[in-house]
Amino acid sequence: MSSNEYVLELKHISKTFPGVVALKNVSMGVKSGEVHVLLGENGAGKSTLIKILSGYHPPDKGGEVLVSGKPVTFRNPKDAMDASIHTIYQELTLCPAMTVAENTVLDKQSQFKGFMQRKREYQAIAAQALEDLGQREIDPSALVRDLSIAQQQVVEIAKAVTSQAKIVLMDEPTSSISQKDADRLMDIIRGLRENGVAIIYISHRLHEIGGIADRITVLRDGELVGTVNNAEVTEQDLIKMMVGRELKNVYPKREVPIGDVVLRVENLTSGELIKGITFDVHKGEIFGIGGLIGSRRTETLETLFGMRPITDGKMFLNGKKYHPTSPRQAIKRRIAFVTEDRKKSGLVLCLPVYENINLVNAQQANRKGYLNWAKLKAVAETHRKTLNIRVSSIEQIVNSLSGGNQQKVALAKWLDFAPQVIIFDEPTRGIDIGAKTEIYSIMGELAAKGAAIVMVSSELPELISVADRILVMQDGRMKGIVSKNDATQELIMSLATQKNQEPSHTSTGLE
Amino acid sequence: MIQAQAKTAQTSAKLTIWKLIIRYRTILILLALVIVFTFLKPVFIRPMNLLSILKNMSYVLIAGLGMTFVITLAGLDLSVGSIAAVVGVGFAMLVRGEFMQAIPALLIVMVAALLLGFFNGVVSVKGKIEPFLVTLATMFMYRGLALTLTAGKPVPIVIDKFVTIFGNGTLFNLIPTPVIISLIVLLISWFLFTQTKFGFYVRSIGGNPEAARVAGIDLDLVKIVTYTMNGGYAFISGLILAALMNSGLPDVGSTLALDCISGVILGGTAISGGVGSIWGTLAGCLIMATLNNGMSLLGAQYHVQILVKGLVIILAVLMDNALKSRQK
Repeated sequence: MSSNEYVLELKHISKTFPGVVALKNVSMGVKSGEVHVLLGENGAGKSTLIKILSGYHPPDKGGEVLVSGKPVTFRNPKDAMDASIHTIYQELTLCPAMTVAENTVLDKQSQFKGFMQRKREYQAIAAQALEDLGQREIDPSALVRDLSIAQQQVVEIAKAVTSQAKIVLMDEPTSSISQKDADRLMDIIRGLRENGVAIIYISHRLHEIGGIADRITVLRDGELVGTVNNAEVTEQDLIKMMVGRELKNVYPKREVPIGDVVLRVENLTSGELIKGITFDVHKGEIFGIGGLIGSRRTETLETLFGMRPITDGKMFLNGKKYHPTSPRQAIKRRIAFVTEDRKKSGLVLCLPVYENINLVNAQQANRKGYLNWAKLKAVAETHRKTLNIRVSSIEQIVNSLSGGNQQKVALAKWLDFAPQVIIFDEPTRGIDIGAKTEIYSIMGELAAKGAAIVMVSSELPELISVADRILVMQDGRMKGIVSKNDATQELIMSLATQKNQEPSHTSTGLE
Repeated sequence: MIQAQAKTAQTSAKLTIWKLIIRYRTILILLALVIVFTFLKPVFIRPMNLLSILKNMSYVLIAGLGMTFVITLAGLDLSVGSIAAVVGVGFAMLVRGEFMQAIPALLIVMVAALLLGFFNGVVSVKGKIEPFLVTLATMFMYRGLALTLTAGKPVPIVIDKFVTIFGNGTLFNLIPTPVIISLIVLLISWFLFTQTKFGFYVRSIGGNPEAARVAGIDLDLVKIVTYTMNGGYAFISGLILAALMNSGLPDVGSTLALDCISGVILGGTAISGGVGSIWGTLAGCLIMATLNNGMSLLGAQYHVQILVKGLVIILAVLMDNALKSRQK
């Protein structure tokens, strides 16, 4: 194979951080006009590779990056952009207080001569890009902070499209947007591909890459497993390549007898946001909540947990009235909430594992006001073992843990007061398949011990496989409750997107 | 149906009104103060009094304009008052006994002020230290420098022309020169902030440093330039202070940094960075100056004045938050 075939080629790229080898001798090539998926579990080295290609880190000596056959070295992100590589990072890199147009041109300032801003040109460029992307409803002069997450994602793509880059890197672009927006994104990617752009697409959502990938490169533990043609492999093959073993069952089966109603929610309403949600959750049940981004699932959970005012409706916990006005009251009634953004609200990142695990305990530990840390450390140690939290010691700072282990710590802090209801918001976001499976088994065990579980998830396969019943929401209203046996991705999507219909109880399941 | 439409029209009209109130909140506060003071003390509204307000706030406004860039960058500079003192003292000493002409002395002092600002920027950026800590330290250092240079004593300024141009002179026998200087600095600052790439970079770095970094902007350079520039603003501010005092005082401007930060914050510039407004800073500084002047006219003592000043800052920020949550 001649190397001219590739617009981007990596030869023997390694990257060593103090104490860690993140990449070992990785070589791969990307062609113009292809969607090249980079697949691997968290910690496989995908992010490091992206950071090398976007100019964040230099590779170790001996490795070479070629763009259009010419060797290049990137000292900073600007060098990478000058070499026609544009990166869409997983965390959105937009300035919230600036307009869409300003954000679109921020990385292209070297193309404009002189010291002056050219506001009209900026506006025109952004408007054209948004038109090309079929996103006319986004106003180029709107402030980014007023847009939805999905719209912000579109702005990131507008940045990429207007950069005239030959190579576009996308690091998990669908991790925070709904299925529908993800589908639209796929159309945009196909459009870029037709224009001869090479796209490197990072994901671990296996089901979504099937429809878009031309070729797939799999990394595991920093090493190249191989590059394959998408047409020639099955999902099982890819999983095997990723984890190095056959992972037969991502969603472990669990048979738990369903008991009495624990939490009953009647016509729950919170201001204009949440309107008339009614459901009940039984002992041992995993109750799923699905819907598009912006359907206010998180807000519903927050209302259950006393974080938002209840303006109408009632809730009952074991038959007794439950009307929380603060998380503190919710916790007193033994409700636990594993939040969506563990870095923001689930963990204190700068504290060690054992302190995080005892964040809830510490308030109840001793009424005299001092803490028996020896005892609390022993508690943390127990959780480390039972949840299989992989750390060098419980003294380790949480910030340095992988996503899956962080999630386990965020969960562990709730387990000591025997919660009756455990609320999970996107419990497996941003964690790898191995850790996901572990989280599902932990949820299963908690249910088996008699907890009632409420879970919001944007990943339909997860929702369908894990939940016993699924409430589908749209614009803060309920659109129906689907039982496990009836649940299909199509049914849930149609409920989540249908217009102005009365809620349909497709199946009331346990009622 | 029609009723529903009327209702939406009503709510949207309500929304626009709220948006306008939020947008012009600083000016509304200012207007309210002007009306109240005029009512209580009619002499307040006389042109001579208004001009004296502008004159008395000129050096705070200039420092505030520089600070608008720094705070929009999500930074802070506590050392501007000390730099201003070094400027006044340095100039007074250089021209004393006709040791040096005024122009070269001005140039030397300007370079010194820029270097002090540059030092703030370099230590903060290259040493990766919070600007609050760096400028807290240099606030003491630069003050110490000014005190050491003069052994703590004031140095009279012997050049009358300097005092006229930067302090007590007037244009057309009416407008005080410090007002003219602050207006020029205001216009230049507005231009830099809203029309140039530099202002664009400052806002983007303050709004989301990661976004700016991946956009290929040289964060370190922009930050160092901003702090250096702020030394320049402190230079002009210091000249006016020295001219008004007719001498280089080593202990002058001890509240300058906090006064101008108050004006910047009142003007709607976010302390968390990314959002800033030059006109806001003008309005914010006007509020502070109007309060000082109005309360003096009413015979309030300085002690009471600063008490009210602090109260006004808290109330304004509280109102800000309330308005913003209302908007949502």
